[in-house]
Amino acid sequence: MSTVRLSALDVALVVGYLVGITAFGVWLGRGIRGGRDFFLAGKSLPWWAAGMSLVVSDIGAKDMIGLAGDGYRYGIVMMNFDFIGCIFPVLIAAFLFMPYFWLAGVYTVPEYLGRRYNLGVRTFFAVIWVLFMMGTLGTIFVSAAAMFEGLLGWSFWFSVMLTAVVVGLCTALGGLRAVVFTESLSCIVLTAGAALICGLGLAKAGGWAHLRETIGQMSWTQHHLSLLPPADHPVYPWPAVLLGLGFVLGPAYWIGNQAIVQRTLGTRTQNEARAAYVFCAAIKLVFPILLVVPGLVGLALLGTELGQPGEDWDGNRVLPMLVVRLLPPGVLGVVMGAFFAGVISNLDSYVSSASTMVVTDLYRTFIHRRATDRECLQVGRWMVVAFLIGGVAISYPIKRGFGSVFEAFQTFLSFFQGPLLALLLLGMLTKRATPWGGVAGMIIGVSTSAVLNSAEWLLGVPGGVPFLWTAWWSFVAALAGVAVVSTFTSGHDEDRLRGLVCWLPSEQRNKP
Amino acid sequence: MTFMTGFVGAHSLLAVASGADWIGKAAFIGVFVALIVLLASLPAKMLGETERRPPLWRNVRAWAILVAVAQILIYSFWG
Repeated sequence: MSTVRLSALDVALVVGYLVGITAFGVWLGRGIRGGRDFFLAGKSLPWWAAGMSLVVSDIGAKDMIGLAGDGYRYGIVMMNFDFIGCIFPVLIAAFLFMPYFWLAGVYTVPEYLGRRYNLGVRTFFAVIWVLFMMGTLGTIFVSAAAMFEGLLGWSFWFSVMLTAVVVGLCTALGGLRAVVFTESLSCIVLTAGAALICGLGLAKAGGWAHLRETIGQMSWTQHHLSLLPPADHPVYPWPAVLLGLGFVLGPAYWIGNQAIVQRTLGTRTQNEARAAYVFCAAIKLVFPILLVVPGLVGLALLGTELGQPGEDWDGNRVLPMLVVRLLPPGVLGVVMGAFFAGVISNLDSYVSSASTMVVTDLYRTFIHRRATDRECLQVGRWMVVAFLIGGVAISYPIKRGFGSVFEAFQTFLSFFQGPLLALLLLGMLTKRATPWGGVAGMIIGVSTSAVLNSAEWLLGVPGGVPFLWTAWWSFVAALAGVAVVSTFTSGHDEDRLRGLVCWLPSEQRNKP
Repeated sequence: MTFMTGFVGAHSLLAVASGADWIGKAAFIGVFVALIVLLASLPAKMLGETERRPPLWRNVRAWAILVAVAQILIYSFWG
């Protein structure tokens, strides 16, 4: 793949963006006095900033590139990851789940699980998330470096160090407030960049009607223009999309992911937290179109060159090839800025959330129970640096086996998503779920994921079980585990559960 | 083991039972219709709303319903 030749205007736009966003982040860091300011932005975030931040916490540069490749391979079914997989759970989270995180006054999702169930459940999920976030940091560094190497010809280490320094300065000095406001800026740049690729690509392909006609004439694309492929589709059958993605993976991500929940915990009021979620959902009506349509444009314009996807086919080439061939000077600078925005916003979300969980769920729980707010701030800042150093350190080994390592991390997380959602759902909706029920649900759900993930050799299921079905059945198994074991064990008393369960409002806590 | 194969078999049955494509569209639209009903019926007290109803453009619940309606339209046309 040939690299992009940036004009002076493009370079100025990219450098201006990087310097501007770093200075903005550092400036926002003034006035941070303690852990509450650092981890929850002093509960001062406006709804619009938190909403835009939610969008770019979810979508990074690797998603822009990956979704274009998947759009080329599978068509508009990929938009479901943002429609039923995001908008539906985000609206549910806003009105049913968020109020209980908010009223509980927690900093993290594991902290809520600890109060609702017990310390074991809290620590288990905190450790899982921290490990996953560390691995994800490494994979984001690698995918960003691969992108910059392919597009700009930069070396691996230059790309990794540059992004680490920008993210480190913004996050370690500015905390959540800097993360959210720089991400709002990134959301605007990312939207502009994606819209430019989509608009210019559609124009080049002769408009939407001509694009449909071109794709319709191909022999292997009969489901490309349907949002809901038939029930026997090998990868995305609609029942699995609805049950696995819409009812389990989507809600688990948007309700149980610390990187997401932390933004809404930092808003000024509960109503602003709800508005942030709804604003995010509104933006997500447009984003999947901007990210998937370039894949279809790539199919129409580059189909003869890239061919029909097979086993060794590399979907990550689609978007960079479109960028190189379609975009004029000036526009290229905005799109490169969008790629940087995606990388930086993804990284700072994970670094900030991981440091919050380490301080809240591990340091203050096991190491220094009486740590002051000021001490937590210092540890939080050092954890940001430590996570970035860790992410940089493991990026090189990840680079050597990127495909398999990235897949391993995704599979690793998918083991826990269904059980996590089951515990949150029953924990918030019923006071009958007991601590031992939580532990049992966690173990049964994770075991089910592991067995279904190995179904091909363990149960003799040809081709294995699609991951969306694995998510669904692990969720069902965890629900059943919590329900059954809770029947035979005793739970917390009502007073302890006030504000944590939806039928026990916290304002009654002190009533006689 | 029988328990696990039961799980795997159940999703195959579900896939066969849901063979007609219109059922898929109806299911997705149904989910958003149910969401709209849920949002509209949530008690104001649960959302911390005061007795005075906010103007429509500042009503988060109304905006959420609008987004869900947009999803119904999207699945109606592209589903």
